[in-house]
Amino acid sequence: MDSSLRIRRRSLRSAKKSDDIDIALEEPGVYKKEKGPLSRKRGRPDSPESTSRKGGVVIPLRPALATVRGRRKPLEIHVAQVRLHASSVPDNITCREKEFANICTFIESKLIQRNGGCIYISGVPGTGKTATVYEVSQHLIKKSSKDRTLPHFKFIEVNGLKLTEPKEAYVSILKQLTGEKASASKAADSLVEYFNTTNKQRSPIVLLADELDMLCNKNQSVIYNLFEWTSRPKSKLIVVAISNTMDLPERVMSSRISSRLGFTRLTFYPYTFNDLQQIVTNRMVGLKVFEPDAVQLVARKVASVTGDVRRALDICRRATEIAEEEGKSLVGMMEVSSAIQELFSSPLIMAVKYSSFNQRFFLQALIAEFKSTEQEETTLKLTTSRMNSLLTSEGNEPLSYGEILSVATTLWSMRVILIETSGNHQQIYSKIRLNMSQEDVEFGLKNAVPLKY
Amino acid sequence: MSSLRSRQSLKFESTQPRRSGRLKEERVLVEKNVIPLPEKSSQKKLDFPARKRRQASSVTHKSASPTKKDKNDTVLEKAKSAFHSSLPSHLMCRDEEIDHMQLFLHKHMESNSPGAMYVSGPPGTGKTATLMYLLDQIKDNGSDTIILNCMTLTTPQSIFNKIASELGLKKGSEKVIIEHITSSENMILLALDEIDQLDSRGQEILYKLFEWPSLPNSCLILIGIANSLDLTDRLLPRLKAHPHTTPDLLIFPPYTKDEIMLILEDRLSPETSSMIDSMALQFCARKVAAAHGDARKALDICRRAVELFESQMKSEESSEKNKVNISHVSLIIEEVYGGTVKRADVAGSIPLQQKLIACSLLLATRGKSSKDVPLGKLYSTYVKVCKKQELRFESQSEFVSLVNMLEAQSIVTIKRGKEVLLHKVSLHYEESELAHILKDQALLSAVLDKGF
Repeated sequence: MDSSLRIRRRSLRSAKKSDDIDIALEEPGVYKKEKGPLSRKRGRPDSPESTSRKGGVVIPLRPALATVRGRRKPLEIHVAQVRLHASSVPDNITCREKEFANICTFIESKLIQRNGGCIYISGVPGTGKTATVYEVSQHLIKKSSKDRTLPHFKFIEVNGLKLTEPKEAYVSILKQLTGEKASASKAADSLVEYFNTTNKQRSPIVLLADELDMLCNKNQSVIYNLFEWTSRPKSKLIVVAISNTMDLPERVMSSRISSRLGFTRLTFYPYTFNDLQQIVTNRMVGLKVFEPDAVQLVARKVASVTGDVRRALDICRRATEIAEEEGKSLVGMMEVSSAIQELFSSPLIMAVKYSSFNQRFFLQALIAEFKSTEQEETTLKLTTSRMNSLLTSEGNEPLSYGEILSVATTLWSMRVILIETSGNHQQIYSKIRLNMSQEDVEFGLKNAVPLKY
Repeated sequence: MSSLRSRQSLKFESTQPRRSGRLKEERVLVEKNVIPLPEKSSQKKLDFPARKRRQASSVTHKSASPTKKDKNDTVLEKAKSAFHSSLPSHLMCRDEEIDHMQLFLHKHMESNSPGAMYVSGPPGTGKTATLMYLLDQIKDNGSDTIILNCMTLTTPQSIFNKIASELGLKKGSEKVIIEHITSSENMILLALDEIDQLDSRGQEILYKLFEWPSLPNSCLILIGIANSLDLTDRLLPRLKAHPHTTPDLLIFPPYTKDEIMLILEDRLSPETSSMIDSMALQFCARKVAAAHGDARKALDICRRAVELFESQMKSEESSEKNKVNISHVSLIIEEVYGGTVKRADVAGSIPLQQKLIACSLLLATRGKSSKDVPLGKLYSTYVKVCKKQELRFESQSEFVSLVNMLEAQSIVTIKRGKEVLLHKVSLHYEESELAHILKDQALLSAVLDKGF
């Protein structure tokens, strides 16, 4: 694949896109249809698997939508917000040209040879694994409609995280292949039959098995079967397996499975600072919303921590929202850095910062206790006595045990501290531990918001 | 569900080269219950097609190196599909095993006597392929053949249902099956692949299956296939109580380097073999034989090497090399087995904060006997290191997810405990290796020098 050509094409298309956006905002349904069936799951729903996918702050998506519905021309900043959402489909995957070509050649040659095979793709969250595979499949579908030598194929997918149980994968695959509904064991039987019978008419199948590690059941029979079917002489099944763990085949899978999986591996490495900058700039083509320095800050910040593109987009989007609240039309360093603050700051530190008078003394007492004993665990009894001596030394009234207990339980319910009531001990002997590091507590106490009385 | 039965038309026109370079002593045979190897002349009773011998295919057709690009492409496609690791049309270098299994089948089929056999061997040594090949030979002699892969079962118990439905019985209970196999006129051949999946409490199911052939009037021939060598000894010690229930053992040893070489060469036609340096095949065979002796892996490495060669051809039009050579093969092997040490050369480096965590872990374990550190302690080390280096540090929740990412990249391992902060983290690599992976000797030595 000629990458320079691809980039030129992309920039042309992206320039056009700003017109499309108007329609998209007015009738979201139409926009979705235009994206085609393949892109439907690109912006995946929240999954518990990684912080990446959670995004930072839950914010209603487009507050601007109301004004747009009012048939006014959308502001650039609103267009930018839509484009920065992870679910908006980029016209082309930026900075993954090599991986794209790699997967594409693999699937294409298997399709032409009309046999099966499997490829294993790994990489940490937000490195564009799934997006690239979708891109490849769309590219090949388009190509197969033009090119005679490339047969038509069916693209189906299973996502380990969307299944209640690994075995449900059979049900999902069967449904996508034939439309039949069956129980897991029935579906497994029909699939075995399906892939073992010779059917010249049947088109090849490309199966995307996302979050492969979630498809591992106890005896790993699901992934065994997936890979076993690819080696059936007439199955014409190509499995693209995706997971986060780089050495999953060696670490988790039994030898009979890794023997079947083979050596076709591809690793997606975290995006570098340059990549991230280019991705954001590409999405912003034709819009003047960000100062170049601001994008650079986001890219540097994210690249130094995870290299997760979803997070970079999240920060940018939040920054545009902050700018909008402040009535600015250009997002600068200030907005970006406060968005970073918001998304990166821990809620526990915030809890300490905004804690009450008694809670502060309690935490101080706790830290003093840890420091004097050089242990990371103490009892409620010891903390009580230390807290009261701290209070009296600063000229305050000492608190009763009950009051201190209520302070402790409040902190516990916020999970700032952990309380362990062991067995038949009385509550006063229960063990207390911090659920965050001492440094963070000290940092929070130092920067605490002044109390008003 | 007759489709489960093997329907491959295994063509046997091509023949098997004589197994070479293998000594009889190498063969791991369990002494008990081994049928003496047949004389070559005693093979005529069953109508197995006579196997002609072919001299090991020689790679002498290298002179015609294709010049046109189109031609090159088709040859490469042919080479790639030649290395596809589906069931082969004919078997190489498994003469003894084939003879053994053939004799077993023949003995029991001819005399209508029941029997059991356990076939074991590491993955990719041709167990299933051998069985499929032999079953294809005897499919017309009036016996019922059932082939099941136990991996497709949802529970071990459902094996009885499966067998019953394959036999065409209405009810799937064990009793009905026993009735059938003790009253049937035809011999029933039951082949169970990956039989160790039937592992259940007390090994009830496996015991029942292996006892079926010894029932009075039974006409069942059972063949079980699995990877572990000692499944019958380890899981089924009670079978030894009755000499007639003890299954025959057949062990498939891993392929040796010469055998892999023969297999690889056999797959290539004169045309395609001109594309591949025989040294490259030799290297691949040696590597695989040293590690697993897995034919699937050998084939896959060669296929990948051809792919790599193809992509290199595409990128550099004026490529001097016109053959797949050793460097391609070694690159593919390195990619998988080189692990992280190798990947550092290929890819960009990991993010700074993750590097810092890895360095802190090295610092925290340095000079200590235990190589793992609780997550909470690692965090405070990391914070101190960051402060010393005058770098920003991340909050604790962020830190935990970063450590998880390091685990995904197989740089550290996490032993999970009750509380998150008590998870034990340990580093996969030594100091020098780590410096290589991080590609940042400066940072590492700065962290180690300044301490915390």
